[in-house]
Amino acid sequence: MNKTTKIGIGVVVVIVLAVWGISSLMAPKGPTTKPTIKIGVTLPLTGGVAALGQANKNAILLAESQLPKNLKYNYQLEFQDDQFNPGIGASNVTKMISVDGVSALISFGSPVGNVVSPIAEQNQITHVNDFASDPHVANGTYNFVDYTPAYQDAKVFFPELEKRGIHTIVFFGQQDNTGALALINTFLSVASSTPSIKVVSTQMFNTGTTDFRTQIAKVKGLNPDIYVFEASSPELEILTQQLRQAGVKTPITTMEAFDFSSQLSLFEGDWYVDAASPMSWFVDLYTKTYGTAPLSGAANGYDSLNLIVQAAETAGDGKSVPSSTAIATALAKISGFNGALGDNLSVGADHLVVSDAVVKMIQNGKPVTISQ
Amino acid sequence: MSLIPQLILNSLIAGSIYSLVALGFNLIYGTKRFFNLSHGAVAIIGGYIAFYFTKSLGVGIIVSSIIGILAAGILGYLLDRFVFRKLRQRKASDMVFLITSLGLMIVLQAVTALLFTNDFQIFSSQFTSYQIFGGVITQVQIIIIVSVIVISTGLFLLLKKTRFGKMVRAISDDEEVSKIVGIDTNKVIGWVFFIGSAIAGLSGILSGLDIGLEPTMGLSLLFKGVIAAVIGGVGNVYGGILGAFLLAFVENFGIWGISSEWKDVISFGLLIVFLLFRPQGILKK
Repeated sequence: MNKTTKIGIGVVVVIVLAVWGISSLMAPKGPTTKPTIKIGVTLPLTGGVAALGQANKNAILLAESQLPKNLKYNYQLEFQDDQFNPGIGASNVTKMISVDGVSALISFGSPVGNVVSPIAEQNQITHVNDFASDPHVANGTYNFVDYTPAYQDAKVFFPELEKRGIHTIVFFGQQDNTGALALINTFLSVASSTPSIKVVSTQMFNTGTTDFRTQIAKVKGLNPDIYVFEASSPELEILTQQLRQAGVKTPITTMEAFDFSSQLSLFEGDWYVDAASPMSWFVDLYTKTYGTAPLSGAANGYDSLNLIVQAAETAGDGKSVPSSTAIATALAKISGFNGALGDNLSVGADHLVVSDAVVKMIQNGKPVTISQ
Repeated sequence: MSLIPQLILNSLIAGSIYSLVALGFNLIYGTKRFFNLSHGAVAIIGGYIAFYFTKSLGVGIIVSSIIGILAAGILGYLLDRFVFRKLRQRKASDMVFLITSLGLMIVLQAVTALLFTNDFQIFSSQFTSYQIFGGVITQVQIIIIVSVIVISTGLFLLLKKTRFGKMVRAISDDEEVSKIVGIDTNKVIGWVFFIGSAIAGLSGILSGLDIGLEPTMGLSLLFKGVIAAVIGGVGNVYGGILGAFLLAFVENFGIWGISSEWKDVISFGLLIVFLLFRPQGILKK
């Protein structure tokens, strides 16, 4: 590089520094920018439950758009796709914690929630799961679940069975599905202690099973009042089809499993118990925004973000980002929360935001709430 | 209803599905001596193509099925033409063939999921069923059993009674000598892939009609087909049929008295027993 070039570069640098310095001095002294709180969200945006994951994302974005402008903090969301795979979910949150520096996490479902929980706890990052039936996802100081727990489902399910005069049940459970396992364990536990209900046969199977014919043949002769299935897609649909092909016309029911089916017409006329239904204002808002009704869990996503925001606003002074520990402490004390899932909700001592289960029925291929 | 007739029917149905997969798999293995892991994905693609023509374009199920079978056959031919043939020309090892077929399986599965989503699909929730000897069987399941009889008879005639069959058997014995005597081995192998993949496509379509479709179902179909092939005698087309029905009967009668969670243990346990004590299978190649 010759002397002239060096001089030229030096002049340019001086000019740039001068302009920058002068503009800094002349800049209006307005209010300082609000600190930004980053929230990492890991959802199944592709894969078998992508429709639910996408609805959850839509609801979270909707909640973000509805945040008041006069909050102490800006909130920045980062979405990652976990395909409902615990390994991918763990990888996502590890990256969001260590690289992106998030202050809070939102996850979806028990399988992913159960791997994210210990990571969040170890890293002291507030974590809310908005679709976990397994209450163990809320273990620890930093973990919370905003979803109807399995025991709430059972509180509605068993009285409904009795109301309908159902006494004998054949149960089919997908035993290696962590999402279904909490429901399976709850069902079997409550059934064993309910005198009016007799589970005449329990049939467990593994994920990937496509031939249930022999299992069906084994139980068909027991003539139960109802079949209870706890499984996810496609095992749920295959089992149902093969049950009908075997000539069994007995009704089928479940706690929540129908939510995971993409072939609801197979369950036409069947009732089931599901997690809390959203408030009508949320349904209207979501439908108006996205042109379609919200799917199961969407309202939970909406509330999860608002719970985190409320906790952060309470914990922080607006000058610097509050610690995740402060956010978690504030979140644990929330009560009287009015959200998409109901009014006056509270975070319990077990870190569960408990909402009531409802009875639904599949009518014209769609789930319809028939009893709150 | 007595359980035994239904167990027998269930075993025949399951054995027939496994047979169709094993037939195509063994045909290809018998000629080229490698475990083509993409075979299962080709089967499911045949099913999805028939599904697309039936559901989206409103084409009748028979025509859609023929299109699905041909499409699977063409896909198998193209995989051989543009992938496996290149590997043969480079004298690639068996491991390379295996890994390549695994990669193809993953790619095909992913493309299927992208095109058709991961949602479970069914052709129809309507079905016609019949009572036979105290058991229940549907129309589709009867077609599955009849298909195995027709396809295996057709394959027997093709391989034993035609010039093409002679060429296939010659290549299977020694590909280099076959070339020396003037057989266009690449062309014959291409046709073997076409026929084997078309049979796989048929199995995918019938499986789809019977239980439904999901992009990852090809792998479980392939596993059962491979187990059947190994039990019956890998590379022996008829051994695969024998192995398939033996596997199906052992599975279904095995879980008669014990919990159904043991079904996979039974399947793979039977495979291990044969590998340990009769690795050549029931019928030698």
